[in-house]
Amino acid sequence: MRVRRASVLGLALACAGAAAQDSGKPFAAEQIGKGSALYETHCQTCHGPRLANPEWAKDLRKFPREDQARFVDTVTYGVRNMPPWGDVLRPDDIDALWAYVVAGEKKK
Amino acid sequence: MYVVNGNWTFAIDVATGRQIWRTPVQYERGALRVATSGALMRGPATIYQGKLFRQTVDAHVLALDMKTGKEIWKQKYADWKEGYKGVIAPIIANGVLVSGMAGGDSTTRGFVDGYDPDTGKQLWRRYTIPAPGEPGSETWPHQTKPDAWKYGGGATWQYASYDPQLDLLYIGTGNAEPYNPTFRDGADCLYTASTLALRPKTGEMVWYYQSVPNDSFDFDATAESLLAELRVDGQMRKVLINAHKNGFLYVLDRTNGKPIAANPYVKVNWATHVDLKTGRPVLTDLLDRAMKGETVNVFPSRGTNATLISFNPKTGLVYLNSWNFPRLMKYVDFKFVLGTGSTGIESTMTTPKGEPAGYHMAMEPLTGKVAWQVPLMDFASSAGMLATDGGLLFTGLLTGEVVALDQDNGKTLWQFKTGSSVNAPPITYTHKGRQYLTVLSGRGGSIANRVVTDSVPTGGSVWTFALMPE
Repeated sequence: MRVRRASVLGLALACAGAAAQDSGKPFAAEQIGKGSALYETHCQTCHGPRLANPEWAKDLRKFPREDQARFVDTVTYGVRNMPPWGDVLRPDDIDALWAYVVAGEKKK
Repeated sequence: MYVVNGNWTFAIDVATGRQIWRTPVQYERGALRVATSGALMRGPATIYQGKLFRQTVDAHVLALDMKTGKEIWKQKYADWKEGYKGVIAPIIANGVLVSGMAGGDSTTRGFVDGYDPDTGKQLWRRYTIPAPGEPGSETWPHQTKPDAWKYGGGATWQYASYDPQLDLLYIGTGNAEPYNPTFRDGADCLYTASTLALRPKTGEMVWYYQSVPNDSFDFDATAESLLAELRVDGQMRKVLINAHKNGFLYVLDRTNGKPIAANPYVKVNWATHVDLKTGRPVLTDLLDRAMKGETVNVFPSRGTNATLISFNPKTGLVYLNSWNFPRLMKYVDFKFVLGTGSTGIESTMTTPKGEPAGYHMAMEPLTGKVAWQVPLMDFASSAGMLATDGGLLFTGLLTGEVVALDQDNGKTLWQFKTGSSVNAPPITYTHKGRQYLTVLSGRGGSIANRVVTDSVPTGGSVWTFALMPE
């Protein structure tokens, strides 16, 4: 059973591809999944379903991957037309969103 | 001169451009979560008896002292956390301040409010979606979707028109919600996508015309209705002319709401025509195909980008800036979350390769005959059109030019490049015997911003030009 779980996780991580943190460690699949769900609820209206074809806002597929601090800051406090989310999303939620943005959507 | 945007209200010396006062708009920044395209403002500053009226993005309406910019009263009209937002200029009609709402792509139920302009006391509220048991409620699927009407859209997010002779206020209502009709059982869903004629003292609905029953393509009927008199079959009729987002230019009898004409002014593929006897559009197979899960390209996504049209009684022509901008869309499931988007579709919008993005155009409103059109290859225009008695048209371009066109043929007679996009309709007026033209420059708005992306600088400015006697 332990072996099976590990292999499923390994597959998920392989799908995440280049989804690596600054530390070089890949994001956990659970964290990416949580970020994806939060994205669908709060972000996709403006930034586009599954990160693609944003209706109004920035294309997050182009957000600089070395700029996690700015991502967290912008989501928390807002900037210009980007609203603040600090009273809705907890820091670990925003980390999950970052994981999802970096991991991206799997190519179909 | 008074200027509003989402974040400020300005008083400006009309002769010199000097700022007399400016007052910041106080709003909860969290409201930008439902605003989706920033704190923008549609329509002018509304001024009446020493007060200036405006909305705030977090769903308040307020009055400022025109002399000082100090707040006199402020009323919350809805909870932005439920999806409501304020983007539209109120209007004064028969002494009543009439104010709409926006948020028709979120979980909202549309309404129009009447206020006492002196005190801010609410006099009436007219919901654009009837509650169960009220007239029109039979057009909602109460048995199978009992809550659909509560979040059914019908937002009143564009400017109204008032006819003092008939004492009627004309205001359009927005798309039905979700766009995906599965969640409304494909019902007509009154009074979404409709033109309403209201009595401003009471909010009584005198007539309505639903241009898009069972709106399934985000066809807001909110474009401002232009009031005119037209000779129809030898008789002068009081009409309203509406360049609908759905691609048809409607002429309605504004005494009773009956359609007189409805002609396409852009490519339309969702309906073949409008049946003037029933007032209903005759659909093509596009909706059926979309309902079966097909991704469809809907022409148009918008006939204009929610901008003002003009009419010159001398030429009998309507002048407008059209968009060639279909919506590639697919119906999808959606999860109801109060205060968030509730469209039930996924879509993208782009101009077909090699085709003009839009046109400056002139059209006969009763026949639909195009007198002329000028293709715009880079970007369609997101500014309103102003026709003068002297045969000129003034409008603007997303690339920043304010332009004067010849009403006879659309030829550009003059242009001046401002520092950012011209999205607003130019205005003209006389001051101390000279005629002036003023236009606001400043990239903004949802679709316009998205179309030009970063190719045009941001930044707001007010430009005034004098029309020289020679």
